[in-house]
Amino acid sequence: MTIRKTLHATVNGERIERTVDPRINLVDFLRHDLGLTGSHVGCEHGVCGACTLRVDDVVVRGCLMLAVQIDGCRVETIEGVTASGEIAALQESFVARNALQCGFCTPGMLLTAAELLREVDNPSRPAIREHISGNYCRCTGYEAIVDAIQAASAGRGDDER
Amino acid sequence: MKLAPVDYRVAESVEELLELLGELGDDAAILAGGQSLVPSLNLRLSRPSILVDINRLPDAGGIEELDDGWLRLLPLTRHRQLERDARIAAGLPLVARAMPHVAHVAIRNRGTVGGSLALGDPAAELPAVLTAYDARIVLRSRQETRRLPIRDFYTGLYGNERRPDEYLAAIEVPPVPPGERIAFGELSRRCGDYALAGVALRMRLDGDRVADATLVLFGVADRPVMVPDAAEICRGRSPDAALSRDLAEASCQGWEPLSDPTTSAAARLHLARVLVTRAVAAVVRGDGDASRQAGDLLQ
Repeated sequence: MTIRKTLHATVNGERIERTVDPRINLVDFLRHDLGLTGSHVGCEHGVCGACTLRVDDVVVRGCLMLAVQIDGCRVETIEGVTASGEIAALQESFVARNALQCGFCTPGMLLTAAELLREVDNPSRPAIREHISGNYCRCTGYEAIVDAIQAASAGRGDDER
Repeated sequence: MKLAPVDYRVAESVEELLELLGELGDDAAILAGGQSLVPSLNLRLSRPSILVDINRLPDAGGIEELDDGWLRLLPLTRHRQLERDARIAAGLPLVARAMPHVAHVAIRNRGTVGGSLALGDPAAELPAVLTAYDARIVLRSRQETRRLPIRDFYTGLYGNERRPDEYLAAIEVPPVPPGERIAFGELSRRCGDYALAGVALRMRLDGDRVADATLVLFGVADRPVMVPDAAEICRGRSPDAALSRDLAEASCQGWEPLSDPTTSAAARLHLARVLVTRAVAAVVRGDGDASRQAGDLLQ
């Protein structure tokens, strides 16, 4: 027996209506039903942070929410925040500092960093490390990522002045 | 892994929730923040036939101030809300201090007070600090509403007094005496990991003497450990090295340490002693940070 539930949501600014099996995780729904493959599937139990995305303005684990739970919610993925230009400075900073190698963690890392920069002006390096502690990168050793986030934060300050 | 097939219902009101729980009993799992439930579903460690989602219950999240200085934490309050709430920082500083230790920000954005308490992971911070604060748990079913001291709520590893037809409707916390000092700390392998051992200490000083003390350890046994004679050991003494030694020794009595392939029972007892010593030092320093080494403060 397959169970189906209908959901209405806004994904990257677009209204969607879909029918889903409640056992489908949000990140799988985004990837397979909507073709938004920027959110990655890593550990599937909330540890690695590769599936990080935004629901109603805050970052969440895409593997720890069910697709059916986004009914009535606003979801933003790396595709959405890239298209809107919201995190352009952070993305440029990641490129400039070479803060990725394979790129698997990068979408989650960017969304997590964007939440920190939205809330804290010029966070310290320990605060940045603490904030991204739930996002695993197996390539870089994090140093370049912390540099990039710090640089983006400093850059933003200059723009505002 | 992915979830096994499961049905899903949204409870739109508490009445509807209580009806569903009454009908479904053990077959249902309440889906709150899902930050522990969904991993266990993904790993197929639990196999409920239906998930009852309570995220849309009206007025089920937030913090209420009651008469006589009590605070009521509603079950859908997210960890992140507790972390940032000024009333929590002022009124329940152990809770505020514990929150940054709970997993990572994306988890704290979703994880709820009710879920954390109802699951009662032995390494979880909230059950421990609310045990230190002598909170009471409000359980509602179709038949009744009952209040239980949190100190009597946990019965064993992931075991507690909640019946399958009951909903953890609130946590009520008594006011903290003015001038009380606190210390909180835990030891984990990485930032955000589950604690191998943790400590929450409340201490009231009268001049340079201890007037009262409450000590709770977590992550070390199958449930939060209240050290029963903490107040007796401390009262009337100055918070020095001798006191911290006696307190550390007493805190290792009367419970069975957890043991696993990475951390033996003996290691857990050692970590518990270390943390109790650090907690006393943190109270003396006044910064409340029992993750810091005690240094020579208590020599």
